[in-house]
Amino acid sequence: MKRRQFVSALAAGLALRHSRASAQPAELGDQLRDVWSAWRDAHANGSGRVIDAPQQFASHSEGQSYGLFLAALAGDRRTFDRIETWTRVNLAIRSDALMAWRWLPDSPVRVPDTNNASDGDLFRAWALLRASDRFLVPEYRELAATIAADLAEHCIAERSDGTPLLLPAADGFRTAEGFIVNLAYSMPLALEELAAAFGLPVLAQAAEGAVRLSAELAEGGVVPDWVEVTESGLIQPEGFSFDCGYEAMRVPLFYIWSGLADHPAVRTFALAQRAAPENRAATIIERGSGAILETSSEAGYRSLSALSACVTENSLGSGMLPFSVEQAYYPATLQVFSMIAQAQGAPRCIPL
Amino acid sequence: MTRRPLPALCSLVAALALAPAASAQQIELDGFTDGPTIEERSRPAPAGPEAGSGDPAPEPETLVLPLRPPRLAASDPETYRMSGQYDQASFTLFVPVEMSGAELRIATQSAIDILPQRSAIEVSVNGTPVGTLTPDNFGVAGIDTFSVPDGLLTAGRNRVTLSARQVHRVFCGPDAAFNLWTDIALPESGIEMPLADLPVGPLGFLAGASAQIARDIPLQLRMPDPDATMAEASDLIARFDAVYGQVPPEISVGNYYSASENATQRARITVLTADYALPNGPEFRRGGDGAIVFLLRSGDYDNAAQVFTGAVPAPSSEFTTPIIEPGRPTTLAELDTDGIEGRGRYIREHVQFRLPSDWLLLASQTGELRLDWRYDTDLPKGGLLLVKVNGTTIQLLPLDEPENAGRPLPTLRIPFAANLLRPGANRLTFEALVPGDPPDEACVPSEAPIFEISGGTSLTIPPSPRLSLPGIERTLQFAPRSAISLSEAAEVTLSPGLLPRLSSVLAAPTGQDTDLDSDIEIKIGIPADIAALDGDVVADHAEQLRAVMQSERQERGSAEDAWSQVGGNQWWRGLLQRDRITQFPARLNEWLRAIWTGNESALAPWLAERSADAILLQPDMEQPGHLWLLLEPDGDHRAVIASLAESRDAYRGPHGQVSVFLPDTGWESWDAPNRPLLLREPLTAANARTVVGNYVTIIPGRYIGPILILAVLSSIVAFGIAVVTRRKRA
Repeated sequence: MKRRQFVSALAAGLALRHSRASAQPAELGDQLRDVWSAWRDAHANGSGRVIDAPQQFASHSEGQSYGLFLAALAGDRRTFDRIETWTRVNLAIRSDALMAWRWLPDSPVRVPDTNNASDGDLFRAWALLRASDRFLVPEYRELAATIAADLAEHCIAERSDGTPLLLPAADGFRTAEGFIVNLAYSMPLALEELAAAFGLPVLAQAAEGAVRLSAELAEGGVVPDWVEVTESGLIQPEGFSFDCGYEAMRVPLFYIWSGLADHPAVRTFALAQRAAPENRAATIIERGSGAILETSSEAGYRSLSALSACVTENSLGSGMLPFSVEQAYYPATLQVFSMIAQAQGAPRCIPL
Repeated sequence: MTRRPLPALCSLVAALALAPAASAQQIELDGFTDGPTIEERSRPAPAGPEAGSGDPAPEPETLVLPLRPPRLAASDPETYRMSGQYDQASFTLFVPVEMSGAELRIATQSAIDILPQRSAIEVSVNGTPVGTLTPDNFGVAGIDTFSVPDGLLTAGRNRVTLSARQVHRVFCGPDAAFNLWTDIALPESGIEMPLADLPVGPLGFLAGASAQIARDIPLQLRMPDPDATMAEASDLIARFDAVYGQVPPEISVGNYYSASENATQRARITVLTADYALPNGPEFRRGGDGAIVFLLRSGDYDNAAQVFTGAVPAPSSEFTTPIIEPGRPTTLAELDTDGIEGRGRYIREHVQFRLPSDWLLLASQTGELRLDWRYDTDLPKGGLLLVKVNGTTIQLLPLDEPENAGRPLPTLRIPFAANLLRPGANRLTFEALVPGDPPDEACVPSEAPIFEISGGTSLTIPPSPRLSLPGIERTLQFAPRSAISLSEAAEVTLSPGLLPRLSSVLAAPTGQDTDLDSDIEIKIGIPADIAALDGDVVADHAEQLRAVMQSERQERGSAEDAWSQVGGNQWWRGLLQRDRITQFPARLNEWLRAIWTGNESALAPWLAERSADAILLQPDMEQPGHLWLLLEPDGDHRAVIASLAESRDAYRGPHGQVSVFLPDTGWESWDAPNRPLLLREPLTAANARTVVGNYVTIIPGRYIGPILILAVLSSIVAFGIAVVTRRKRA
């Protein structure tokens, strides 16, 4: 699909509507119950802290929010409440409704930086919205509305043409020439659902803006981890990764999940993955050349690679792997998300 | 590593602190005065072996195409034990492609009592010897490898046979035989090949499935809606099971999203909804984890099943035990036993045979075994050969008479009670016990068999009128697979994969014509179903049946001593045993009761002595086709399935009206005293005596009562005649 056609389709909202019709969350939650249990047992402790072991055993607002979303999807009220409680006590310590982005267990000051990370806040708001419906708790919806409103107020920047984009955080990503964005933070389906639920059209516009920006970037190769948006165009932000690495690999994942499997960002990612050795997936891809700089054999990365290949080739059945409890928090989460994305956005790509 | 922007107030301090990160971008923020410190925000690459693309290429993943055992293991499916002084076992080996330069590996661990210098395990592939293994891995398992000549292994099913000769380090008597064993580690034994070389096709699938099942990892069946479509897939699973013979693999049923939990899958079945088209029918694909995936559409199970049976013809599913025609001598050779050579100091050899399902003799008729045999010279004093029919000794033969040793002996006629036999599967056993010589020292090596039974030995079973009794075993002879289902309670408590597995071991071979007088229905249930059972057998016994499944296991006494029956028939021995004397009143009471109601005990006291992991029962003898198999919801059903698979065509299977199962004791069965005997041919003068004999044996009261009444009436008549006659004389 050409960029202009794709953008038109997005504007019509066809893709997103299709994605919602593919699988009911409650039904999918039932199907994923074993996988959720395995993820929870491996990466969350009894107090509701989601632990990223390779990252200094830290807990991130992102991880807490991913855990909340999965618990809500699986209908695990008990775990949802535990994670939410831990999050409120330890990360929701800012004056607004957003969270501090990281909690370090071995640091003298557990939260040395109170800045937020907008992907964590976005997923938390989305999870609370889903949980409100699933568990019939109106307070969750109220809190989701507050978070969404604060995201809209503090984490939106506009391009020169007025298109809003989601900033990575409330503070720190505006530059002299423009601002820096991480397109993996702008999960289109989450932004659109929150926008519709709470009457915040700017979030839906931010989703559309991110999807358009990704399409622009995909013309030059894989979508990078970070990009600086300036008056003069899109440039590599100094000191930030401009390759497609652990950040940007979520872009094709979230687009498939959101029903945007035809997006060029998915296609460029899938094409680059073809050069990966057998039984491994590329985890860092050089943007300009498409050369693979790093690979991994972990099931989460391989599942994402297999899913993107399947949607690009329009295959029936994909090489997504059974969920592995052996892997670290991040690939494990990507693997569960890949399963959700497949069920909701690429039903033909059933894990074989 | 990337760094995120520095707030204005802290920029100097932070810049100093992070001096090594010279490339970090310093960004001035608009109007930000008390913001956060600089932090790492991007997700860095993980440390360790996963990092970087320059890490060495991993070794290609391999799998072992394993040896598949001849029977299902009840406890440890990963081990097969060869025990005794002589043992032989044949294993199935699925090979996906014709192999050249293949190496067969056998992983073993042996008992420390084995003397390796004089012990050996011969290995053959498809009948061709490939080498001899010395059982000398005592502490831990070790692997021996054998080169397999090119062309010997064919694509598909192959047979690997191990013949063990195991010699005790010190002793050689019967007791020593029980200490001799070699465990074959099945998952590690077979042919090793790279996982990537596993062809994507039916043979690759079967080979991969074998490797997976050998490691006790169930074969996974992924379905869009496991609960709704399980019954549809039952036929597919049946065909799949057929390829594996009567040793069905465990199957787990789930949706598309599974957690592996270290259980590496080598093969699985994925069912698509009917919305998707597979233009060329079912197909094989390779999954992302390397497993061979059989992909098919929901509802397309018939085509799918043919893929397996077309690739590897299933072994015969017929009852394999030969059938005897009553009324004429049948030689052991006709029973597929060309002769028996007994080697070692404790030998137990069985000859299985079947009798027609409508054969029944319960009275005093006799059968005859005409034994042509010989035994070795110089056997120590006390050696004995026991001849048994269905576990009952019918003859003790000495093996220590020098004048008879070493030469063919005249045909020995051994009569035995025909009522030891029953319809269906029966067993003739030759069991020898030869003491050590001397008992506490190593034996002189001998390759000669202890005894030989000629294939010309014949068995004559008297004919019987066509008679039958209702019983579990009779129903199982005719049960079609479609008649087996889960109860409503079992559907929500038992694993869905259990039904096809149980169906495989419970169902009769296809094409068996039923002569049951009711439809057949076998329900798999749980104890909660007991309350709903109705019929003359289970009436008023619900509590006892529930208690049997819930009670702790009863100690059933020690195993029977093989020597205990020797000389056990001398009447005076009873006087020396106090427990026998104290039990005498109860025995007398039971004997008097048996005269009236027959030999079978009542159900309640029989159940009171037992506990069970499973109960197979026929609730109502008026509906002999209806059976229930009750299982504990949380129990390990492996032993039940293994036992049913093994006893399906053998003597030790469940029979009667109620049969309880424990792994240690197998099936113990109860026959109802009031079983309705059914004559299936007209009553004639020729068969009248036999028929009456059977009736009288089953319910003596029905014979004794009329005879007593007749005797009383006769006495009254005689007395009257006498009185009348005496008056006339007066």
